Amino acid sequence: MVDLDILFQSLELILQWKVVAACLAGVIWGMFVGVTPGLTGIMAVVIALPLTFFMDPQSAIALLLGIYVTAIYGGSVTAIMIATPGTPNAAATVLDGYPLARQGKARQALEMALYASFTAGILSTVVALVIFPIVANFALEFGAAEVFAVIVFSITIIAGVSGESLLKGLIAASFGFLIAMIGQDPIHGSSRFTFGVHDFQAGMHILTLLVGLFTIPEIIVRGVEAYKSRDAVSVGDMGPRMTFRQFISYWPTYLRSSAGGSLLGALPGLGGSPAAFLGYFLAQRFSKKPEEFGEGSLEGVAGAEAGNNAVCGPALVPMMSLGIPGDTTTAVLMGALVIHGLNPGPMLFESAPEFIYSVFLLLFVALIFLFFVGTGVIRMAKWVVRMPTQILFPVVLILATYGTYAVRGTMVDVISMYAVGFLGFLLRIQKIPAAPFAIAFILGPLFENALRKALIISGGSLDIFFSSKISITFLTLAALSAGASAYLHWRLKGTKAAKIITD
Amino acid sequence: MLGDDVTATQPAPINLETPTRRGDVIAAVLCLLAGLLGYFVVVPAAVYVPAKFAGTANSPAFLPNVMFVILAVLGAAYLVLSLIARHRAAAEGRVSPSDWALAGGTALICIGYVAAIHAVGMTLASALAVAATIYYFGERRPMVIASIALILPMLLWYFFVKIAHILFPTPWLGIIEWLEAALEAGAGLV
Repeated sequence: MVDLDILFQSLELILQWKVVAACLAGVIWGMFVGVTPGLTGIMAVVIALPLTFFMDPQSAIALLLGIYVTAIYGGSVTAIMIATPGTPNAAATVLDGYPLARQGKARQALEMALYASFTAGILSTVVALVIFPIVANFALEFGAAEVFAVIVFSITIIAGVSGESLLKGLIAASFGFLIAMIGQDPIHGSSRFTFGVHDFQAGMHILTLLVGLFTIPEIIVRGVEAYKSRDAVSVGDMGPRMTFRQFISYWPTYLRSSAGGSLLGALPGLGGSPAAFLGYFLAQRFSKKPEEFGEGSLEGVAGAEAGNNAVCGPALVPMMSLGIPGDTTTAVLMGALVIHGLNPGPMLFESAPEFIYSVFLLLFVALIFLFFVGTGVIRMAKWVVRMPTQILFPVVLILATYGTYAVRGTMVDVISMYAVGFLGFLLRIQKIPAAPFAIAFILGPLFENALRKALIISGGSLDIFFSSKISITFLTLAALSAGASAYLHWRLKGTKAAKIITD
Repeated sequence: MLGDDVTATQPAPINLETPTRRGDVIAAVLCLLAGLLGYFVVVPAAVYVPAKFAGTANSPAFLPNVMFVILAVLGAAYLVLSLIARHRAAAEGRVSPSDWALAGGTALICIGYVAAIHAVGMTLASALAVAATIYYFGERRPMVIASIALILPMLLWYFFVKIAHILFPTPWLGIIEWLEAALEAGAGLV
């Protein structure tokens, strides 16, 4: 159960002006990124990460959580106004949001998206706060073999759901593991893949890899699009406001879609996009007017937005309790914690429980800021969707370079970032997904440590992985998820559903 | 008609991000080669293995070898699947050469930017790179380009050097340092 004493201690930690200001700054930056097509939530977090080096851990996580929560909602603004999801999480919002905007009800759609996001965010964070201590206590029973089994399970899920084929996902994960091995061997300290470059001894920095993988390919691809389409965006009338009665009439949708989104959020690797589609599906399945879905249904917008925003809180649970990130953005949050000397996992809950609770409380603060900033953005929605990409992406390129250099003050990081970026671009054009790459890179050292320690303990015997119920369960789940993923890809090949998963 | 026939045989232009069978085959071969090269060449050359751990699961080369083998196996499977699909597939689209040129141009600007950082320093190189990229992406208003190219690097210089106290790399030509020294000398004379 939640310890109220520690909860109040956590409240003291976050009720400091610099922490609250960092959270607000994160919300504003996240909103800016969210409403800008092409700039994803992960990019927003990655670009802001170097700034956190100069902050205390509390302010740093406040800034990043503000971005994380807001970028998901921000993506719905462009999804509704110009049928272009600002982030992949808002893909399902287009289905009903844009038809509503075309019917002159853009304001209603935007307000529904905001209120559903806020409601689902609050509900899912309460769920996360309640289930976290249970998961964390369970995680204390994990040894090297169990950690290894959980990572294998996470990778199979992530590889299976983040692209058009499990095979490509596993290839991406292999690259991630291999790049994670640059530097010193974790057991003996001998050099691996450093090629005499001194700056490689400490390995490739997480920020170098993430900026390269997510920012550079986006800049290259969006640059081509920016050059080709310079048409002005035309936005119609904003229409009437949503009434309180309209908002309250959809409460079962908020509950159902939030529950679906929370469930997917707590599973490693699934993230916001599948949750949005699940939320949308649940809303349609139980709707009294399912025929309106796709034609401009407020309930459809509510379902999609409640689904994707319900991911935020629960996605932090596996990251904070097991050290396994729930999605790519939480992987970056995990990296930020590590940079600040806090290693997510069961021991963190033992050593700094007030910090863990403060993270969840900060989610509430971020959601409150989201509500107010989002209300302001709705009033300006007609203008905010007109971001000139010709200027935006060159600025992002420069920020990415400075941010990478600032981490360790070495040009090797900048060159590595661009090298990873070009590799990321080549992988992207073949639809080899970046998420398994990044998560395998982050989990790589943990994976190797767990594998080798388990083998040292067992004297090289593989029996250790089948000697506990937990590791057997997770390895079985890994095999099942790999099999199910391969089967689903085979069954869905060429269908509309497959296209949605791929996109 | 001849024109119609030519159009009919031309593959339709497709988006840069649409994977092609040809691209799949090339990517699969590269993955396979990377796996084999890594196992037979890179790991023996670039991983130091203490003699007493050679060939054991406790060796620093153990996991790199396993991962390169997995990569080679996955690459081979990817190649087989791509080749099967290639034989089955009908005519397919092609990415427009202009798209490749545009993407390649951005990559060249990035490479030029890194080289320029070494040559003229972070601030000047960033000004040049941001101006070049904005122009390359289609913005043609000189005042917009010039103002961003001037203001952004100066703001970043102020934040990183004056507030965060981060040392920028020393350039070969040292233009900014020369200017700073000249300004200091000038101030001394006044």
